[in-house]
Amino acid sequence: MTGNLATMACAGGYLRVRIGRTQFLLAVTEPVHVSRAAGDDEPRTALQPDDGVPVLSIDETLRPAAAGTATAGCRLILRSGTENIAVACDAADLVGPEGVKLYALPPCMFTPESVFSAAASLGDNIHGVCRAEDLLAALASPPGGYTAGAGDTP
Amino acid sequence: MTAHTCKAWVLPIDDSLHTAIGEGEIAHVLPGLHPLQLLPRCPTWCRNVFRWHDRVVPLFDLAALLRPQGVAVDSQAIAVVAYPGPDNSVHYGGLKLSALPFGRRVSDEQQCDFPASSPHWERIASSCFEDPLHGPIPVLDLARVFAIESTHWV
Repeated sequence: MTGNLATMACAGGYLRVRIGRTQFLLAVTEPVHVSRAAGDDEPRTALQPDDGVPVLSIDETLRPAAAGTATAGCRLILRSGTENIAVACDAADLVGPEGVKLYALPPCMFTPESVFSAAASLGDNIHGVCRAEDLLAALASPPGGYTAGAGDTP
Repeated sequence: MTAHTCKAWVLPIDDSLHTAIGEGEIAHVLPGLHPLQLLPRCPTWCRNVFRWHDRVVPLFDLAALLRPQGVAVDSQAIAVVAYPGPDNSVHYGGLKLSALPFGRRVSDEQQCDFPASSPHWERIASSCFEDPLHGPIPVLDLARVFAIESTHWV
């Protein structure tokens, strides 16, 4: 996987997802949906909610969470082809494109299980930017299959 | 005939690991701790980014690349370096340092073999010189450093 800023930019804005101290952006055109435990104010993205999707709890390193550390403020439902996974996350909201500036990542930041295709500055924060397909593929890959990115500690 | 000399910056990577870059390749030195943003699932040698002026810049940890089993050392400074990208545009990256860089005047007569500290020097360095204090110091090819592909780094 390599980053291509032209394909990552989205005039419609981005969905900002927070899991622990990690925040990342997905273009609103990505096949994702956010559902919350209650209320109907979830951000509108390309897909509508779909029941019966298995929920995966991951931590801020974007790896399967240890028991008891799961977050559950909302669910990010990822869809790629026939695959669906719902990821438990702390928060999600929509941000407009005007404050988001994208930056390419160099080849040395990619591995076969990379998630982020670019970085973005938004206000005082820096976020990774990913595609639903890449996040889904990384979460579906067997743990321990690749070690260069292991041991992330914020 | 007088030997040709040039100025280099020597970059301390950890207690016993030094490398060097050309005088014109260093854009800025950020002393002390600098706020970093971790991008999970990136390789251990390049998994943080930081703000520098109006940019988001990747931080490369050479110690993590060359001594993957070594103990991580806290960054005491960051060297912001400039290198040519594939399209000859100027790219910026950060190198994690264990101490502030210092200058050396180097002559052709100091050229020597790469040190035995890592078998990988020849993949990321273009030459090497013998320093009277620190022994052999490889001169980095920065474009190659930031273009490392993890799948080829075994």
